[in-house]
Amino acid sequence: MSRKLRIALILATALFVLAPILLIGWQSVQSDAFFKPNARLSLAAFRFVLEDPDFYSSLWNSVQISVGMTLIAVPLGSLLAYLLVRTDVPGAQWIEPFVLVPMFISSLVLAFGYVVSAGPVGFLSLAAKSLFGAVPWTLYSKPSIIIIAGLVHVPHVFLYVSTALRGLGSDVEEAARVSGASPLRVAMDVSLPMVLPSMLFCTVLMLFLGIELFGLPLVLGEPQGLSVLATYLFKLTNLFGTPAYHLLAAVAMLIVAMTLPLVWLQRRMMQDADRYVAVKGKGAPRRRLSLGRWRWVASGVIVAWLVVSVVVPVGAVVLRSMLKTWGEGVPLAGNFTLQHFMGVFEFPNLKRGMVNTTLLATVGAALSVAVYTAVNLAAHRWRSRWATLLDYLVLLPRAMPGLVAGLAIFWLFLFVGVLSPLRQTLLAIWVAYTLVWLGYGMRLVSGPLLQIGPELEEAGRVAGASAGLVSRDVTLPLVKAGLFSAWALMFITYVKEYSTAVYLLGPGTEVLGSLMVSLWDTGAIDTIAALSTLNIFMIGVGVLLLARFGKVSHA
Amino acid sequence: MPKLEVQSLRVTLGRNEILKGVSASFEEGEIVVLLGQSGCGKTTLLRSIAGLEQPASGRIAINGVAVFDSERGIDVPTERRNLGLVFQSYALWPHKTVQENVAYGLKLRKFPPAEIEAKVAKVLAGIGLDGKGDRYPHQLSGGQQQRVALARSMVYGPPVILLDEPLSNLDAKLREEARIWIRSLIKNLGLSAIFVTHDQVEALAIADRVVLMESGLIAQTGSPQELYAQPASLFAAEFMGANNNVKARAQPARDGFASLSIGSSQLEGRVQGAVGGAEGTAVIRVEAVALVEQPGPNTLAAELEDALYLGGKWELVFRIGDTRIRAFQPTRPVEGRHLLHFPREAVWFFPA
Repeated sequence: MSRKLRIALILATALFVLAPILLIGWQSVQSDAFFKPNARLSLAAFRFVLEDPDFYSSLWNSVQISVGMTLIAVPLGSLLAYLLVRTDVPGAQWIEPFVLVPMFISSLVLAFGYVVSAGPVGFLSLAAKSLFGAVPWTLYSKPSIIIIAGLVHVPHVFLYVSTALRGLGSDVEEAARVSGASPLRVAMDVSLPMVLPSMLFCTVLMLFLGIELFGLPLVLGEPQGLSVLATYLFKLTNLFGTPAYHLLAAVAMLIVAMTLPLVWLQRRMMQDADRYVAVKGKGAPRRRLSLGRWRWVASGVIVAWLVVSVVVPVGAVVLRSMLKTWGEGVPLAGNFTLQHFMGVFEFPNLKRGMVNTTLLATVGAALSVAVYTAVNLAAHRWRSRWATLLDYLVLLPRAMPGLVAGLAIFWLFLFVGVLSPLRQTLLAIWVAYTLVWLGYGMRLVSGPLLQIGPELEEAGRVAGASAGLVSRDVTLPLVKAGLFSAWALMFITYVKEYSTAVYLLGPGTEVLGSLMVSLWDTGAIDTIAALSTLNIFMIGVGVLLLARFGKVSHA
Repeated sequence: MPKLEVQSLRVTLGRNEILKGVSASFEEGEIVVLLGQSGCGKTTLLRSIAGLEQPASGRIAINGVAVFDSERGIDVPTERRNLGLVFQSYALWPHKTVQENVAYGLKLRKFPPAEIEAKVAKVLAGIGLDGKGDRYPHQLSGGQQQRVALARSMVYGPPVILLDEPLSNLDAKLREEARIWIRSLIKNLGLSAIFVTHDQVEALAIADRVVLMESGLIAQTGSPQELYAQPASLFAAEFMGANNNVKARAQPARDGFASLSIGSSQLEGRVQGAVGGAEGTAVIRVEAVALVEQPGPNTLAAELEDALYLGGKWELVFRIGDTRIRAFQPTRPVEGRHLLHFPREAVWFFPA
């Protein structure tokens, strides 16, 4: 790739990333919607938000939930990783693939799953009620949200910590055993300190994901009037009847102000963690630590976690989608139907939602991967300030929760003359998705790119190929497999996505996720359950694609 | 006119100066070995010639035409320097067959397909890989991959081919065979080559001329024999061969020779290198030390301390006072005292 093309691509990325965030920033210091003639520079929006007691209660809830779920997910995820990677827990190779499942399923769908299983008239709640006379838990409460958020985020922690544990040669542990340390001492004195950087990284990641949380609190908190930052932002839309642009922007800026430092911190820690891994021991054939009698207990803990965080919600939502109706005293027998699925294909908006989601996940995800590849190649093996600039640019969209990015893209398409005719098309959604997942997608693609030995590309240059020809003849053919698995992961990601498309929802731009969010307001749980089931089915297709093309990468 | 010329080349990486002003010229049909320890800058020099590193200043000319000149702002991109480079890892493209790997440079040079096929077949036959063109690199042994890499670098007839430690991934036996046939291949085709290695035995065997490098500078240039027999510095002397290094104190020199005090013993030796103080290091090649029967000039009594069998010869460790001296001998001598002779031309004194 020539220098000019590289710089052009990086500048285009800069425009793509900065335009939305600058628009939100500008809007947040206006007295009214920025396109109105009477809009002036003003801090009124921030003043309003910072004087609103609801904002503070939402902020406080966000902080509590995010810290709470971190305290659950990090120890549990690390424990699971240690048990499955380092010990002889029975069935490890059977259990391991399932551990990642909650990561693939949209947390919105999981939330619906908990509603139909453990909500006031959920399957489990009614079963418990007939046993004990009353439901011994309340799903719509802060502790429930914290516990569920903690449990479903275990796979993120598992993925990082298990990778770190695998990278750790067993010789360092064996050296400690030989020196006279018991297995437990080895775990505490050697293994734990060496994966500590990964665990710290996960802690920051969890705090960040906790602040961003939208689907779970929307479904499980709103019925009790429990707001978090993202749902507070979401509700602002309806607060005054007309959209209060400046208020939305101010809240969005406040959220980004909290997430950006966390994203930056993650980046710093990631670099440190990589450095740490470089001093790992040699990967000798490793013997797993024997747990003795405790191995069945350990196995039980893992299975129990899987049941609570995967089997119950997924099973419940699938079951509910096939029931005519459900409530107290309704028997299961004779109640089965496929009419809710038929319904999906009868309502034009739901049908479009299915088609659009499929299109975005297949063609859209492939195009996004193409964009990420082009941007990656622009900075590939280039020691330059431009490459560093790009590094920092891709951090920005990560700090924008999907809701905020969707809002920004909505405004861009609303008010940029050339774009406005395209607002009601899938293109708007695709642009928003590509922006939101820029950081993630860039990492998916850069992984395989960096695995190519630089001398393979240099050999092409020496043989007489220009940089562009080397990309075409050497680099791209070598990363083909990596690009396919990146596509499969983007497929899953786009099927899951719900928050980004919320503000863009309109005739022509429906996707499963945003449809479910809007249906939740109407309480159409039959349809929601059917859409959730279809969503899970599509995720399953994506997982099969992934299994076909490659391995799971880091989020 | 030299085939390739490098003038006061400087390369910096961050705050580190990798090359500190290197000048060298490479003649037509010559195999020049860049020799030095890791980190001395030999690979950086090679990569700068190929255009894979960006020098801070200096000039590089191929066939008299500048491909890099910091003063005139010339920096010809790698692909237009028309060089051949064999990488240490071979860097064969794993997704291309042997045929496609070798043909790539010809395809880029827009040769007609028939001619490409003929040229590739010829070069593959030349390296004993005829009929293996449709294999993929991973289906070949290490030695075969190495030969494909060489074929790929020379098939389009570059004026100079560059080899970056091409033998270091082969095991010892294969390496000895490979250095014989690489040398004869390059010589038979009349190519000019620059060969980087850290292995002094390999360097001496393969080179017409050796360029010894030390921390970003050229320490000495010369034929292999010159470098071995007349090292210009303590570094050059220590880098080559197996040596006895002993602390010594020199009397004023006469005709290049001086009397050296080593411990309580005296030896006559040649004063090498620049004029310095009286203190310094005496270097004696291990193979230059001889066991003799009769006392004489430059002959010292020594106690045999240990003997190690190396297969075919013995390495003997003697003690003279506090000084240990090693020598080679075809048979194992008896325990006890022996007389060691040090030819005065073989005792090199380098003032500190």
